[in-house]
Amino acid sequence: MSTGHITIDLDAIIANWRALDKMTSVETAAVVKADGYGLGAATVAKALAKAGARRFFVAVAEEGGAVRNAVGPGPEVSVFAGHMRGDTDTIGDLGLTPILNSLEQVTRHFDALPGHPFGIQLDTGMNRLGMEWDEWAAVAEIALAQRPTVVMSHLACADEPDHPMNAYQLDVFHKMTDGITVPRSLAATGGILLGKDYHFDLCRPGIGLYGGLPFTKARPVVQMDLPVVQIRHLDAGEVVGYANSWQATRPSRDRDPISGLRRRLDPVDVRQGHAILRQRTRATYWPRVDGLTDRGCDRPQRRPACVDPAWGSTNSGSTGRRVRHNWLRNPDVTWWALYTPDTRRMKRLLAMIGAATLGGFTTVGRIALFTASTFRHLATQPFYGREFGQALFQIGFLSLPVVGLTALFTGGALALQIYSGGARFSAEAVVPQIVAIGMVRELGPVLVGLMIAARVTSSIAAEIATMKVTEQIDALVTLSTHPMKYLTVPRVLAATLVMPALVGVGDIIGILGGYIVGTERLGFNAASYLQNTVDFLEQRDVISSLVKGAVFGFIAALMGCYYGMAAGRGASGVGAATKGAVVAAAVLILVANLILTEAFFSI
Amino acid sequence: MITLSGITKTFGYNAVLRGVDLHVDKGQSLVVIGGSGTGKSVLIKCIIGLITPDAGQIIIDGQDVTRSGHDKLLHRFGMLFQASALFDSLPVWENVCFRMLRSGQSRGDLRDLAAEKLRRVGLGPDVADKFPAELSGGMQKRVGLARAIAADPEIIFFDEPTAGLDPILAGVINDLIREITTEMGATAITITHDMSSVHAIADQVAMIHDGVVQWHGNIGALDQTDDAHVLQFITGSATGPIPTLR
Repeated sequence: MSTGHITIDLDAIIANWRALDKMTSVETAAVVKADGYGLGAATVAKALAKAGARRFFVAVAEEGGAVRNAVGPGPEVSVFAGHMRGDTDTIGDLGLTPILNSLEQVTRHFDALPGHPFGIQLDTGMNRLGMEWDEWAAVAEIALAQRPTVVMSHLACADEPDHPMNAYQLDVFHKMTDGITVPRSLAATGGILLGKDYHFDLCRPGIGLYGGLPFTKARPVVQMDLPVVQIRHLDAGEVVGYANSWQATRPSRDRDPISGLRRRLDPVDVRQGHAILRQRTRATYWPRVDGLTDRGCDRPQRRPACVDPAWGSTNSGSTGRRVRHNWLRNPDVTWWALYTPDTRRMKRLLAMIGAATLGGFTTVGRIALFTASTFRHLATQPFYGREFGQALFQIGFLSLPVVGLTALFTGGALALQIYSGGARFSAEAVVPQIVAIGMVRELGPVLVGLMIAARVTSSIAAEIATMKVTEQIDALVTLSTHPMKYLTVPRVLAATLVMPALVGVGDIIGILGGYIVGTERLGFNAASYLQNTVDFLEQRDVISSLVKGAVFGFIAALMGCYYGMAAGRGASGVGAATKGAVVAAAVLILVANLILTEAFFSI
Repeated sequence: MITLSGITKTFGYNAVLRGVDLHVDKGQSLVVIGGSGTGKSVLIKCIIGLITPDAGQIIIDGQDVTRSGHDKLLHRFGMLFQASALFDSLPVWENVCFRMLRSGQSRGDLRDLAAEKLRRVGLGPDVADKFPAELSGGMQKRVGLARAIAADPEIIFFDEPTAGLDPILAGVINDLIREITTEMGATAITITHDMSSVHAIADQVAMIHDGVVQWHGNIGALDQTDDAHVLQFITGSATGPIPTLR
């Protein structure tokens, strides 16, 4: 009997939960963070789920797995730390509900897991976790529209019922949340004991379940048995422990505290060889104990000392199921938010602007390097002809139907618009000329470019991203094949060469659409319509159209390849790559269009 | 044949490899074991040149290839990837002979060569014209193996060769790997956490944990060792020096 062990009374945990539940008329959750305050989150959660608890809270997403396994798919498992970077898969796969603490987390969550349940934490003065006024004001409308499962905050001084901080935080919470229709939660164990005003729609006791203060009527949960190696006698003035952390003020007597633990676990009582330890501190803070100094008894003890850290003074009477648990090896799980000086809001704002700017420059720089690399590989052997041929077929030939339809309907609509718009100043006759110039100079290249961005960029990005995720890119390298040469160069070259042809086809079909509407619907003479078109168009118009096409094709394929190659891991990586590629291609095409238009037609 | 000394690699704040020393002799089969997320894949990718290590030295056949020079060696490598990593857009035979497609040999010859390699891994010639997506996981694994050995490499890497296979198929793949590497006289490095692979494939075993080689020895010594890390790994126990929350 040389090591200690603890006994955990699960029935007492259930009884404590039920007692706390009875004090309110609202739903009662259970906090099982820090591995169930060191007692085994899975075991505790399972017992409480059987007793009727339907919501559980853990500190960080990694803890969610054990609880989810224990309680099954039904109950809600919420994560106080929210949606941290890298947690997306865990949260998604395990069906966890992150309690979002910041604008950054809200953005990340909506971006990575749209439609996935979440809660919101507000800061009402504790400065631990949660959004403050300014952030909450910025996201409240968007976030509430997505129906969070709970909007919560945490009390700093609930252990002391008379503390003015309680009423202050209650007031702030009301001001921040009054009028919203989603469930609200403010009270943990201490808040429940403060009374009905603090209960709102959900209470979430933690420490009270485990028999800790301030729940004075709790049943003891944990009993710790420690062998006594040696009994020491202390005179007044003698010191104890590392760094002389405690000094005896008087000689040892019966019923005096265990000295070595006094600073962290007090008060402590000793009777007849049983060390009875009344817990006033959080279970997560149990120190690593490698020796107890006990000056409580003058005579040697044969029986092991028994330390009961929960309220109550006996070490017997626990009739419940018992689980042996190696308490001393439990890690302290701490996850407090970082404290920053008062200028933090300003700094945070500047930091966000800075991070976004740097991120933007980084992407621009990477795309520039990628472009340079594409040209370098284009200029050097080997050249993959078969891949190039396939890309020509995929990008050029197979895009014809969508290009034709887009151009046909747009040309027709354009003719109608110009006719009815031109009628306002008696200029109906210019329909053929304006349709021709509008389609060839502007709408043909831009619409074909955007359709190619939708059709080709997305498929290139998704294909290459999938190859990256499934290690096919790595496989290419091991087979002595450079991915830039094999994947990027053929696609970019094919798109650049074939897009002028597609734009040319689009221009012609667009004019055809205008022609059909003009002659069939608006009563133009067929021969003079065509004659007007041909007479009016200049060589410059057509060349600009084809050059735009080549540039847009280059952009569309390059963005697909870049975002595909830069894809993150898993299915969400493929999705994000595809989205990023299409958005970037579309925006860059429109920007390039303005620049090229300026270059060709500025006077 | 292959010597690693002091290889370190860090991703962000995560030090995956913290100084790995390893040596494999020509024609030997080394199996690297270790828990999920202990850097086994990163190690193999450092050797093959897909990842550049932060520090340390990699010497392959007398050449220092740590920071460059892999390109010239790649034709002597073969690799079987965890999920096979076959190219979806190409039929099976082009996958198998991918490396030779641009060598100037006629496509007919290459197709015959592919059929020969497929036969070696137990697949009939009818498979050659199918696409990878039409094959089962076990057959994809065989095709991946055929691709890895197609150019008669001197060094073959196997990344979790039995991942996702049932025990029977895993046994078949293990035996194939052992037979083929032995008859080719190739040097093999396999990473796995499947103990059946270890016993079927290994001459040498290295256990990697916490970014360093915890244990290295002959396969015969594996069952005699009293190294706590190895024992926990072999028995699959939740208690021991290796944490279970990784």
